[in-house]
Amino acid sequence: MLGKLFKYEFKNTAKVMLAIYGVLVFATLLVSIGSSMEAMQGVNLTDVPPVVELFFAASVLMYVLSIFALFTVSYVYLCIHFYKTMYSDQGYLTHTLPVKPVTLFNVKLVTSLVWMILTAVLFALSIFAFLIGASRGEIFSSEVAGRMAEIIKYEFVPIFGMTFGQFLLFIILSFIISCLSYLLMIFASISIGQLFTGHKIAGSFAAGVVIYMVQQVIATIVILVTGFSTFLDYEKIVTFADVLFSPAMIISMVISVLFTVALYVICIVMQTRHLNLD
Amino acid sequence: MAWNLDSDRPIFLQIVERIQQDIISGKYSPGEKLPSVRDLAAEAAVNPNTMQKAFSELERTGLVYSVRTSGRYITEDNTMIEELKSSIAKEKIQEFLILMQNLGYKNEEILALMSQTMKGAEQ
Amino acid sequence: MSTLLECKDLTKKYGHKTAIDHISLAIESGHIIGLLGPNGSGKTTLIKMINGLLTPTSGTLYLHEQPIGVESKKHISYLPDHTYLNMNQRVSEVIAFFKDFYEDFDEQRAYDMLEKLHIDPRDRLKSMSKGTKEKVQLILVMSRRADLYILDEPIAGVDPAARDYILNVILSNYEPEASILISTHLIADIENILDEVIFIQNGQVRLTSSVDDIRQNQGKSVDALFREVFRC
Repeated sequence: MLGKLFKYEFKNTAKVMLAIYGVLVFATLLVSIGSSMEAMQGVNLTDVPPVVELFFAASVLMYVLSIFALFTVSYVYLCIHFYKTMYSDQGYLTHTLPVKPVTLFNVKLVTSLVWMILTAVLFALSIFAFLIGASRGEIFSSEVAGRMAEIIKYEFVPIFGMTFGQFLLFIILSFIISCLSYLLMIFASISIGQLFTGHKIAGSFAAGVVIYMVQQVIATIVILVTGFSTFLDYEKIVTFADVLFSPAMIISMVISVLFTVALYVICIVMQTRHLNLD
Repeated sequence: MAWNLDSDRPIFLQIVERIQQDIISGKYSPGEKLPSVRDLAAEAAVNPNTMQKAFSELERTGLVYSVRTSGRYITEDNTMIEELKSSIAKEKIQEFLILMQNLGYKNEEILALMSQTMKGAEQ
Repeated sequence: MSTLLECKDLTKKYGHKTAIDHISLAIESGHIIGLLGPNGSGKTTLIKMINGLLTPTSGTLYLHEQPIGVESKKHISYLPDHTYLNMNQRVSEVIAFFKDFYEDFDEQRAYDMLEKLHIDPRDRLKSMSKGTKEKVQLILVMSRRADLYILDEPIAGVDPAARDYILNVILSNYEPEASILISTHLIADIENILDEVIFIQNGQVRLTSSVDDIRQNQGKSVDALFREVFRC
């Protein structure tokens, strides 16, 4: 049953998500070509023909816009998809499937998360492609590769206070957690909003505002209570890790994890105990 | 096509009457197999339970008999069908007579009127 | 005949408004039951609670002596009073979906019924008329071999020919051991296919009776009795 749920969830979201990715791939190609032309012109030290300049400017603009679109549109789309299939007319079908509400919710959450991770991976690949174009492929030269390896091997630890692998793991983990918290924030707002008979969308907005305010207030209080002193203790800060793992940062990380868990619990409770499709 | 049924009398009784009618009129011949409860219920646009009840009633009177697994059949007893026919005929005539009497006709007048009407119909 | 569905002291409140007011009911298997009541009487609210789409304020609801949940959803086939499918899908895709999720779904039966209506399974739902969409939904719902079918206003707003078709689909797909609960306010149209009726008003049960009893004892149709009970 779980496999089937995932199959349909991906199938139903794939069309829009792949279209968004298509736009990004197209924009990346454009900007890579544009930047490699630009780079070539730079080497030859001749005047840049206005056509090339224009093409480059347009491709960069489109590239920036599509990156923006990639993140915003996919995030907004995933949230709308959640609302539509859970609480609009289609919710009647979704919630009469012989599946546990928790399973239903988890599948939606995990699917959305996977799309967001894919989006990030694609984004990284796109930047890489851009760099290849801009460096006219020199990024692959043994010189650059050797320098990169050197940095990772010898200079990473003194600057960041951890190895490259640890840093990567940290980035990935915090990316996943922040994706989850962004998704759950909206999912929880929608799940609370459906309690309002006849004003579900307005209710969702109100719930979202309240959740955001509660989050800010609690975070502020905690920071105030634990004190700013840890931030100001410059003497202790030697590497990036000292900032990252300072007590204040750890506390705020713990808070955001706890918040994410709380939002998840809210969603599940709404699904299982307070479903209100009217 | 859904059957025409009165709205104020139990449906199963009306179905019984309708099937009796079909047997007498020869639509179903003696020994013929009746359609299944399900098919006939769908045809009449009535609840299968009601059709079942009507069939049970027909079985009780002996007009229909069921053979385990193969279905229900119309009785082959022709005298029974004839008896049913004449009893329904009597019933209808009674109803008609009451109607006419309510209009103020006497029995002899009714008879005269009837033969007159029948002659008219023949011409 | 065993008890299929049982609700005890079931109540649903929206704020201070009571939609369902301490209803206790039992539905046996093997019956076609009309859930009859004026608009706003609580029919749809009751139906949604049976399907697990609304959480009762208090009271209990059991199918096969188990609370509403995954098991009950396996055995209840539900037709809501509006469209509820993803309109971008083709009919064949929706059929595949039903087949994947409902073990009791009879694919062949669905395709046979579509063919009779000359509906092309490759058509997308959004390209169909409202009436055709409703027929497709009914076909999907009636192609399941469920224990309980719940049809919310299946004949509201359809022409007489479509109504005859719908009744025929219901009758010809109905298994003797299953039960069908049909909610409607158009009683005259369906009363011949009912064997029991539940009258509800203001969230309360006004009357439960067999149709034959009403006709035998009161000498009037369910429709006439309904008009009498709910006279304004």
